[in-house]
Amino acid sequence: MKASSRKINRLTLPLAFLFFILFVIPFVLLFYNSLLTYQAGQVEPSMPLTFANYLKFFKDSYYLDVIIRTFWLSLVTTAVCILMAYPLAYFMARTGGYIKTVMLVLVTLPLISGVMVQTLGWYGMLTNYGTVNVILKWLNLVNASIEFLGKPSAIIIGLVQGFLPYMVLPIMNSVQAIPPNVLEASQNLGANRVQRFFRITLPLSKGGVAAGAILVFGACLSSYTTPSILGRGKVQVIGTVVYQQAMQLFNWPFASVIAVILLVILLILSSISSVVMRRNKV
Amino acid sequence: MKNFRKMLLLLLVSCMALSVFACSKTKTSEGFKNERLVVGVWGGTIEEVLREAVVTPMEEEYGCNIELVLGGTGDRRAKLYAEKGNPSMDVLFLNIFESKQAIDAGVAQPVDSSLSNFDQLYDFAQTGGYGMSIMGLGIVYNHDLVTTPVTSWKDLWRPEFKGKVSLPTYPGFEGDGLIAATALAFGYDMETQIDDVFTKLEELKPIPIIYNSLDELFLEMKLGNVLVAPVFNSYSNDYIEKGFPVSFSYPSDPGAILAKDTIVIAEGTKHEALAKEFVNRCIGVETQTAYAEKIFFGPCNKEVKVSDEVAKKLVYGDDVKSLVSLDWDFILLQQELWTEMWNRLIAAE
Repeated sequence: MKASSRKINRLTLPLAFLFFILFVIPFVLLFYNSLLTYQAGQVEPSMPLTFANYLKFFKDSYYLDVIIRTFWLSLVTTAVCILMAYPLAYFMARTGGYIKTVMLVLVTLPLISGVMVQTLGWYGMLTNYGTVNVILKWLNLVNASIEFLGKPSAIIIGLVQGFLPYMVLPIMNSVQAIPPNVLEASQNLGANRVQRFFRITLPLSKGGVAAGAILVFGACLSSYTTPSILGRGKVQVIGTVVYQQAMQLFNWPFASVIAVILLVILLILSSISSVVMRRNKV
Repeated sequence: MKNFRKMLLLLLVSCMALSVFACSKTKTSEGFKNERLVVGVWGGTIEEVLREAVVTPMEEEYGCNIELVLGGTGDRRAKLYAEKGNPSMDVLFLNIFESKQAIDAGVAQPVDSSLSNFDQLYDFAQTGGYGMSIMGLGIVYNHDLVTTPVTSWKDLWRPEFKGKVSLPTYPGFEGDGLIAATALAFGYDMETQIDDVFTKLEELKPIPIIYNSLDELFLEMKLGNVLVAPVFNSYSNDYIEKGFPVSFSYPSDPGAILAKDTIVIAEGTKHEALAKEFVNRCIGVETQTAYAEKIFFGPCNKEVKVSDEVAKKLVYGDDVKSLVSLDWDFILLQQELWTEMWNRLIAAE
């Protein structure tokens, strides 16, 4: 028993090594960077090591607001994604053959086309003279153009479209994995369609929803392109602030601080969610 | 089998002979054949003109390969510092303060005055990188909807423009220029009275769009959603030429803000001779004239002569003296603070 477990440990060494190189070293470097001193006008940060960058972050409510805004945008996006993806995924899991293939291709298309193309597409559609406003005016729903861009709503629209596949695919898998005989059994025992959905399908596909939610939420938190284009510089999120600090001001230490704090928050959230998921046996 | 070996040997020998021959040929006759030069530059019309005036002729003449990496200066500046000593770009187009900073930091080479076209450059174009073009940041306005012409930076605060003034994204040259122009126009000190400067800028809110695409800005101006915006003369004239109903003003109080595009050669480049030849052509009369006539970028080469009609649209010759030069060493030190204030006070709703 002991020997075999030690063998397994040794077998995991290459993976641990890879993990060390790909995740541990970059994180240590990031943390080291966050302690360096930034000098205004200088591109390269210098010694001495200091916690001043962290102090600056916590003294100034602006950056905390940015983090809260980013979390809020990500939460709303995730919720909208669940609501939109579930019916779609349910339908896809229940169909087969040609229709399913076509739908799968359509759903994964955004992942292939890339976020830049999609975002610019939305940009064109959401401007004052864009498709959406033209249609709204044509239908006489509005008189003047609605300003979408530069508002959180535009960012949410863009993010939902971009990350919907991450939600659809895991949910579809989990719905598919429900054994048909379980549903048949419930039917035999007198459950109607609604009961069957809420008491069998939904609980059994919770895992897919949770997996999708984590993927979408994480992707939203770190998104940069969509908020920067659709937010028009008016809605700052973590991604755009980090870009501004790192690439435009060359304040690498402070950009690292924001990244470290984001990582710490994510670490806390993911451990909470894994505890909750284990307790619920999802 | 024996035959096969013989053939293989023959093939090897001939290959070696050929490669020796080829090497000696590149060494003796044409130094740049098959060399690959990577140049970081802005896209759009700038790329078109550069390709036509410099890249294609050089490639045809020398058989070298010149790759243009397009984008804003932020990314390539970051790359230049990150790849210190082993740059992936040999030549970089930067703005007035970025190039000076890069040379001071030792990631870009100081200017080499032995280039044959170097002496033709104006004095201001001979320091802090090779001067490529000059522009003035002024105000562009829709002349159909604005009846009284805009003449001063203070005109941005006219009551009729409330909610119709578009501002640029920050940090960036246009933003720095606007902050400085505001301070100078209303007599605030940029260091001690920066709060007042931003209070003044806040009066311009609500901002209809914060622009980072000129196409969009000029479309919004045509539609009347934006009436005025701080923009460079060159870009404005480009859109005026395309038929947009806008006019450009070199505003007084204090005057249009001088901007200069510069070229630097990365420190540690492996293609120094080719890079210098490239730069030399860029600052030469031919390219500078093309820049002036096609995209209205003011020439840095004294020898460039353009027609009066084109000259009106350029920052040309003595115009430079009427433009305002900012103290970029000072502004660089302020950018962090200004970014925070801009984020909080101007960009946020």
